[in-house]
Amino acid sequence: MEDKTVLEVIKEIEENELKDLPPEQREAYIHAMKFFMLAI
Amino acid sequence: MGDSYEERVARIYDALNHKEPDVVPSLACMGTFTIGFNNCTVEQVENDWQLSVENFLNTQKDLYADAVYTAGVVFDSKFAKAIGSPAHFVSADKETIQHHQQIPMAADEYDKLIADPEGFMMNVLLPRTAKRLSGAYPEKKKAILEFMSHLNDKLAEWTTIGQRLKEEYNRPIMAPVVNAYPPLDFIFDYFRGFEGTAVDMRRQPEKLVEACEAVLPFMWKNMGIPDDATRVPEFPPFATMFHIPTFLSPKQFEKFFLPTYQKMVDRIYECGGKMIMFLEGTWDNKAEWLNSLPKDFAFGICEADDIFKMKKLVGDNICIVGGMPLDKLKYGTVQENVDYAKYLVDELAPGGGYIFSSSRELLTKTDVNWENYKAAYKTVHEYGKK
Repeated sequence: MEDKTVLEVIKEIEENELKDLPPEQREAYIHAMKFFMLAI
Repeated sequence: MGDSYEERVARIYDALNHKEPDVVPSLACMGTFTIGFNNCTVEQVENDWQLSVENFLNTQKDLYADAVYTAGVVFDSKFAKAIGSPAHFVSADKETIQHHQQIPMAADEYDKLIADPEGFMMNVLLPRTAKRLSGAYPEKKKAILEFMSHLNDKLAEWTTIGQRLKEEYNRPIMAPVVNAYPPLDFIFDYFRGFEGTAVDMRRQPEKLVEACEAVLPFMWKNMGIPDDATRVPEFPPFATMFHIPTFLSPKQFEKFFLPTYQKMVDRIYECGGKMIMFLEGTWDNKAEWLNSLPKDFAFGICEADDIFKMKKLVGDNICIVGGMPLDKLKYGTVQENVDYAKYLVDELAPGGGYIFSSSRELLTKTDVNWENYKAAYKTVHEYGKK
């Protein structure tokens, strides 16, 4: 199976699991998730 | 003025604006204290966000406070476990969480960070700390979805705490999110650590300065201020919890910390926002910078500084928060705490610019004698009336 980077996986989640969120909310959520992952 | 939510926010902002409020305001600072206070464990609350909400609210029942600092625990061990990071773990007492410093970035990797900050941080540095993100694709996605699931629980927890504090206790949260995170602190906290950053400041200062600039756009997004915004609400204030500044000389602070952080501060100010700054460690040698901030713009929570000295040094410009020594709250008698709370009011509150609080955030149930804590806060509310 093709490997993916962390950002590619997050992009995939953004386009699938989070596709129903309004764009602005989705962008803020994704940024918050990235920040929390780095800060853990 | 009464004790409605709006009146309490107004009281706190009167203090910020150096107007003498009707009553000296008080701020309760509680972290993992809410877990031990309720005889729970970290594991229990990490797996039951509603229990965490009840625990938090339970600490508020018999307490007088005009506001709380945060909505409780932010970075917990379940986040770390989800992505396989050893950075946060549960202490042996099972009631508190510890941070284990990780240094995933080598000294010779600044060029990579500068060239592609987000890509390098997320795709290279993060998997070095978070082992589940270094595996193959299905495992990586599973780990991120687990992390996301816990983030959703925590967002629900913080939102509910905020709503119920407002509805049931008329009590605002001063720092519901940490949204003004300084770039140098970010590099220090998560990539280069104490020793690495200290060495980098001497051996490759320009690279470190450049890296802070490179990381700034990522931190800028945290503020959540749209590029075309001209106004943001005054409340809640934007929050910073400083980490590295206490270890920096004023010259290092000016060279490495301020060039990026000041841009964030200026942006908040130009939009009419305010700030709450947790002045971790000691800050008396940075009084000049605190006095360079716009007047009545920032709350400064004093931790290890002599609060009376800080009031003299910067108290005409920023609103000083703190003062009640944790050791007195733990070991003193109720009367000694009542007397000291009155002393703080007498010395620090005249003319506004002061909010009463414990000198440190409460982490364990043994940090304070609860009767002392309640008595000190009650005293300020009664004795601190104009």
